[in-house]
Amino acid sequence: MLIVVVVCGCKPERKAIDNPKPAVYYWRTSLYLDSVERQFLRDYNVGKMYVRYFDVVVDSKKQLSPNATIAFKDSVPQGIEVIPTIFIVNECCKHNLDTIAQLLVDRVLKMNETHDIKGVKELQIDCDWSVKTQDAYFKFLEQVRQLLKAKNMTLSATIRLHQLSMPVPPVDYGVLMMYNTGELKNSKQRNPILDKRDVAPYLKNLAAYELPLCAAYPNFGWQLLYTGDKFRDILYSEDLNDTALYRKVDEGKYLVISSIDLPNYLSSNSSYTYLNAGDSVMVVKPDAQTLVQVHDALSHERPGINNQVIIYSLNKSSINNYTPNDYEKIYRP
Amino acid sequence: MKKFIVLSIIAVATLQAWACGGWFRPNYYMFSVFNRNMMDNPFINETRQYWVNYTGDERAEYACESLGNVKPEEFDKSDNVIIATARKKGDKETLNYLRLLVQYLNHDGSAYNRWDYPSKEEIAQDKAEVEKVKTQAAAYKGKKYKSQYALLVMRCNMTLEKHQENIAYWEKTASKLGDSVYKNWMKDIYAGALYNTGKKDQACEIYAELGDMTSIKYCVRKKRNLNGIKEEYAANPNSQTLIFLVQDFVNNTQETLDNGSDPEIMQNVEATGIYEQDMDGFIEFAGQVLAEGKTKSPAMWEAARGFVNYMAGNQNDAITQLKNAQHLDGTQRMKDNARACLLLASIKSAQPTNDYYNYLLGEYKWLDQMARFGDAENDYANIDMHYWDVFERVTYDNLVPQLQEWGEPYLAMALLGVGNSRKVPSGDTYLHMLDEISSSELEAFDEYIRNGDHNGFEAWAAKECHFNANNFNDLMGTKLVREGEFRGAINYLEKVPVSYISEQGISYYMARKDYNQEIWLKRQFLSFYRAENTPVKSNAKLDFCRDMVALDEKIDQASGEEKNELLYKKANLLYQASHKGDCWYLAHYSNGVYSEPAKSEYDFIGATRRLLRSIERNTTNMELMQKCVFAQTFITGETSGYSVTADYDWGNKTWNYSIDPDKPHYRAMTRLVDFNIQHPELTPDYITKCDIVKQFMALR
Repeated sequence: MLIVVVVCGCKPERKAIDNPKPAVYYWRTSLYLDSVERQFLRDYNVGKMYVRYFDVVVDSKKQLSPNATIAFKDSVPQGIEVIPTIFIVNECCKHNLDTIAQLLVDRVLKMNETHDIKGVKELQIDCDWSVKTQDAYFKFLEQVRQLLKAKNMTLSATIRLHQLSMPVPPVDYGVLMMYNTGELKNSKQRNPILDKRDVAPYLKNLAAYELPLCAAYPNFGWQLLYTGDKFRDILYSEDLNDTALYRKVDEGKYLVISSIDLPNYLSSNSSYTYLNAGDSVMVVKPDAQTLVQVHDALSHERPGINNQVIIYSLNKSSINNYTPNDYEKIYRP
Repeated sequence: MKKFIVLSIIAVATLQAWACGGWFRPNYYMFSVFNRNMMDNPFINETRQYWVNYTGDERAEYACESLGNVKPEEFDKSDNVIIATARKKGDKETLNYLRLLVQYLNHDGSAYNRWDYPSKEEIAQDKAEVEKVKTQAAAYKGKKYKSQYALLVMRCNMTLEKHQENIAYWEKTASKLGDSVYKNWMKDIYAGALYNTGKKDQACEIYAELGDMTSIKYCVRKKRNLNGIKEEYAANPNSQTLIFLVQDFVNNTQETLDNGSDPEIMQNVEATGIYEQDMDGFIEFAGQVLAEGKTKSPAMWEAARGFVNYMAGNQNDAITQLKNAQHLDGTQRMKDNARACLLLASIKSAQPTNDYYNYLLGEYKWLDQMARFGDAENDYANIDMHYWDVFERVTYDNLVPQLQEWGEPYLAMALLGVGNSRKVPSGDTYLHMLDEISSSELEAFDEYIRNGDHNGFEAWAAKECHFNANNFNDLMGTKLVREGEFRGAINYLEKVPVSYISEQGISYYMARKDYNQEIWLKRQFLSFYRAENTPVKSNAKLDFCRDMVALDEKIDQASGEEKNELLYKKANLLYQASHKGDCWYLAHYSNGVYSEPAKSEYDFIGATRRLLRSIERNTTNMELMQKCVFAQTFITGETSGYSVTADYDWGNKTWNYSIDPDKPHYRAMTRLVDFNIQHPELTPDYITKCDIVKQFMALR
């Protein structure tokens, strides 16, 4: 009897995440949803909101502390599940991270209780961990997961592209971040938010990654400030159509014509960013075509990964970066 | 309030800090019609002063800021000096106010960023506490703390984000209270409420009026440019915000000219770049404003375009406009500003005529009055530091270089001395200059100060300059020591009181070090960080000079080994007085690791080495010879060292070391080691057990 072994060319199907729903990240310091944002949630049947509750940072006393805790000025529409998400600055992993596992879980639970946030079944941790901090971070995740288990809750974590080639963190599933894939310093050559050339090398690791995954895609744009060719800063939702201050010189490129200072929300060095006449501002955002191509490539490499798509982020100023048709395509499994 | 440095009354003593520390002179803006002294917390100083006056205790300055650390339940036992004083006085009214203030300050605004997140009940309770404080504050019927209680009401509303209530409270109640620091504070909160309810322009006006620089900068962050000025002018040609914007523009122009090529400095000083096109545009626009006649402050606009013209190099226009501005309508501050700017601008095109010196005399006397230098130590909170800045910018960056160009170095020096006597931050420049010049130049400067054929301005500068007999004699004596003229130095140092030396920075070292100690056998290290002026029993410089003169006389009369012993002693003394010596204070006012010999300094170290070499050659006293060999090794080690090169041999996986044999220290070390090998019986423990010697022997 001849046994014919057929080698199947199909990709091995890794487990997708449980209970997938169209989702968004909410990444601001104050929870308030305006009508445009509420409409977005309705239009795309968003079922989950990954809400950044707070960051964990190393404070001035070298202690690990919560920071930039969200202020709940509004409530999440009924029927939408809230997944508290905590951003841990990688620097924290060099300190005694396991001392805060209990504190962190308790804090999240207390925040839910204080603000009447019901039905929370999951917690997500976001951290740009590296080989050096991996052990401490994974140990911390183990602790958090055990604590959550006792409360019938699960744990998820964000996964950056470069982390696909590293060991799998001890969580129930991962969210593959398909944004911030490039370098800001090279942003004149490549789109730092999402560029296929930056994604391609990691695709080979995707199928074999032994953790249920879903994907998060960007809908935001950046305004990048340059002095000459030197990247200086990211501006925050600056009105570049203000012709007293900026002159449009090309598609997505503006010249600063009057020196101004703007509050800086991103830099730790200064509370203002100074724009001098002659500086230029480049607007970068991934084009919808790229986004859809990447989305489809991911589905091809790892079927099921797009069963749940999370848009980063829910913000009135970003929503209109894509058309409803684009969102339909992105939310499609 | 800007902090300023109070120099030691004996100014020379501060040279140490000058020589060792880095030196960065801030950019002193000339244009000031908007009192930027109020930019830092404008209210804190007065509040502090109130409690200092109330308690009669300087500690209250800090105690008022730590009232928030007092727990309400511990209030009655608190040792906070303000609370304790009120308790001691039996001042119930003050105690009641403080109790309520403490309750408010204990409201936990930071709880949202603690690990222990507050419960719904805790948040509600916290809000209720603030409400309670507000209710009690609003119920106050007395007079003494009426404004403070009203402020408390507004602070509570602010905490509770009840901005509309704050607007109403200000309009109906707080605005009708008498003028006070508290009323200003309330108005500032009122502006915040306006801002938070969308009335941004009104808020900006108030911030500008109050001089709340942080808030105004935020408020007008997109208007800090020519377009913003034009826009604001179009909306209201007499707004307070416009005054801020015009001043900000002129100062940013100055900053851009000074530091525009360094984005880091621009960022640090929060300046926005203003370039040629903007300057021209501003000059034109200011002319338009003046022509339209809508402004009530033509003095400001005229001075602004005058000073921008000055910076743009349009000297004639600048002078005309800055003169003219002083006669136009505007506040006194605006006119004073034009006068100060004119003083600076005038230097660029001035000639050293009697008329110009007379003008300088009048303006410096005026600057003296404006800056109130004399009141600074006792009333610094109320001093307008802007005129200190003007003095510095005019004097140090402009007039002194101009005087030097005109061949007036002593007048320039005297002017620096005026700055030193006024204790301006750059005042130490004078001390540095005095220390740098030679003894003959110092004598000439002294002659100029005392007997110069002076015009009025020179006479004023000579009189006001920080220079007296003690300065002169100490400096001359020290310079002569430094130049190796010990006998000559005695004449000057004898006239210097010991008390004068005791108040110098070097007294710390002088009181604790002995120049007779053989430096190569025992070092005398002291911690720089513990340095404090110390009374000295005698002037070691004078003692040193007398010892040197006496020693030289003995050496002249001695011969043979006795002479060698005396020369050895002299070698040590010379080295001690060098910049490498432990007793560097004998010939210097400052010292540091990177110090170099002064320009006219005697070659103490070279002389020491020559003496030691000579003794080594001539002596038959082996012990003395050994000490000389060792001393030379010490000196070459301190001054040059030797270099070891290490190369890795990849084939044999070993390190190869090589030493440069031409280095003096190498040669000295070789002699020392050879001497020790030849005379082991004479080799003391400190050499046989010395790690450095062992290492050298291994390497050799």
